[in-house]
Amino acid sequence: MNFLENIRIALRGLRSNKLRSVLTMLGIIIGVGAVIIMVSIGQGAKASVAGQIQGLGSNLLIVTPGQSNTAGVKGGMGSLNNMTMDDVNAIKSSADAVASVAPTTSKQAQVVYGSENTSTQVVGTTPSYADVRNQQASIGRFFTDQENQDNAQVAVIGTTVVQDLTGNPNTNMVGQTININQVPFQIIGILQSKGSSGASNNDDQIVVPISSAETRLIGSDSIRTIYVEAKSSDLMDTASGEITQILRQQHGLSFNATNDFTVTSQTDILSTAEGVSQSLTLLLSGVAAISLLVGGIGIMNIMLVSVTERTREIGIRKAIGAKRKTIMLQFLIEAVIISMLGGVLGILFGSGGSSLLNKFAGMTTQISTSPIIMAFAFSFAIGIIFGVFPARKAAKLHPIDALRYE
Amino acid sequence: MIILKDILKIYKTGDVELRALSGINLKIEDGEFVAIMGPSGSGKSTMMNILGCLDTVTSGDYLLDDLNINHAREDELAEIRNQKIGFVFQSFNLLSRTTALENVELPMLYNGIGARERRIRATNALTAVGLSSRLHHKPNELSGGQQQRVAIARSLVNNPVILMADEPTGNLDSKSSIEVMNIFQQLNTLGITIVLVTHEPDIAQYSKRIIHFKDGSIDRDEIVKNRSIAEGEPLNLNINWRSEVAS
Repeated sequence: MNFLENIRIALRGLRSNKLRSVLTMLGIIIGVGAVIIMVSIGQGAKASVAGQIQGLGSNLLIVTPGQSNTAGVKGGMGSLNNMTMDDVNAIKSSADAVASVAPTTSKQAQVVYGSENTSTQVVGTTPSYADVRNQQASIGRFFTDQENQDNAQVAVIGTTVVQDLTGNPNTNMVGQTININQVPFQIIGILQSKGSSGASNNDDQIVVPISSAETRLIGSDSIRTIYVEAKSSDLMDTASGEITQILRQQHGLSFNATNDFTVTSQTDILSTAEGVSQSLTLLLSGVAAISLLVGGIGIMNIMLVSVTERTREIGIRKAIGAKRKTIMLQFLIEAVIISMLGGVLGILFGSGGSSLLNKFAGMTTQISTSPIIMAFAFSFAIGIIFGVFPARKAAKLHPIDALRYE
Repeated sequence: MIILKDILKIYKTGDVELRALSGINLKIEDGEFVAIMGPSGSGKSTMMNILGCLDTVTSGDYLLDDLNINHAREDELAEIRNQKIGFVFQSFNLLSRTTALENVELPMLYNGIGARERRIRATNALTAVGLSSRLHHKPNELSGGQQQRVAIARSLVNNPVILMADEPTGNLDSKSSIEVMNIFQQLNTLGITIVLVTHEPDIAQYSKRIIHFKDGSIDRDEIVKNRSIAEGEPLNLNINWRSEVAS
């Protein structure tokens, strides 16, 4: 008895009990669909986070102040105000592996344009910020070193701010004057839109010369973050070491004192984010796998019922010469067909669901082949695992008892 | 040819032993038409199961066509049933939701005959028993007599050495019963050995030899005198289902 005929017999068995077969399949459909959707969400999140981190700039190192410790009370990370322009200049002049340096200071400020106003992040920095953070002006220009030295009241603004002030992100505001905390600034450029990354929106900021920010807006010369671009990706570690060395010297730290600053590289952030999304994917897949398991138990349940119902059929088949193996195969194939068909439908359902999520719920999802192949293999395995027990039960029936069964 | 020597069959349920058959000696030659009779509990069904290789003996020898099947394993018995024995049951035992043609093809499915030859042989066998116009009907679309004829066609397709009929007329009206006995008599004329279990004396009267069972042993073994001849349509033997089809 060949394989194709077994499949034909199994299909007929399933067709004769359509509703039951579909309901049984539903367990697997939901399980596989859930796996596909969950994994696609996880992978989508991972890809978008990685994209955003790459978008911060290339070969980027981020230097932030350490924790403040006032009389034993510790502040948050970066709460220390111990980085100055001297540190920046020292890094610029002494670190060989560093291509450029962009110190930043920032403040939440009220911005007024005509009758409109909004609150946004004002970042004071140097012109090198444009290259280091990969934030160019799409319209107009970035400010110059000369303007920075002159405390010029010029600003490059993000498209979200443009939107908030004019109601249209595409308005050309170059040449207009806005008031930042009552200080007038002339707009000389619009930042290229980079989109939002979760909570932080790269387009919701105004970039001004650091000198103007310190003197006119913030009133202090402490630096919140220094962005450093290494000369190449191979030199990231070298640059990080050099910066650490220079800042320790600058801050006069003794040999065994701990750093009062932190140097983070892009790859550190990337791997942390990946770790997070990895465990998220794992968790979601775990939940989905449990639903697959439940689906498998459903198959076993129905197959056991089916074996009991068809005891007489088994008896007839055995009486006219079906061997144990043949009966076993018949029921096993039936279970595998249920689970594989459920798997295929689940894959369709999952892929459809994940693209719907992408389209309508604004979630980034990504479907790759590996979870599809996995889900397919998994549903096959479930068919075998949960089909074996009922199939063995059928195969072991004694023909006389089976024929007598009413 | 069937030879039974000192057949003993004991069923054990817990501590209770039931002697279903005690010391059966029997010889059935090729071409015989034997009826097994006896009250219920006499061992005739057990005899049928053993002859049909559905069950094994506790002790004794059972030779079917010189093949000793005392110690056959379950799968070997399945193969013997498939190759050498044709079954006709009281309740027809056809697969429901399956056409007559596919029911008749079933035994050939289990001995690896190709799809084309299966179809031809099944069609021929159904034609022989007069059901050429009912090939694609399912059992619930057929009368009892027709269902039993499908079962007979099914029992014949693998050219069995012996045809086992267990109360084949038990669920049929008298007209259909005579039709079925007519087919058996014609098949017997063609040389097929038939063993028939029945409790109806007038049905047994269509056979050539009656073996009476009582309390697990043979009570009486007699040649039928004044044998009844069943009236009916002659088998359609223009097509011989028994020859292998050259493909």
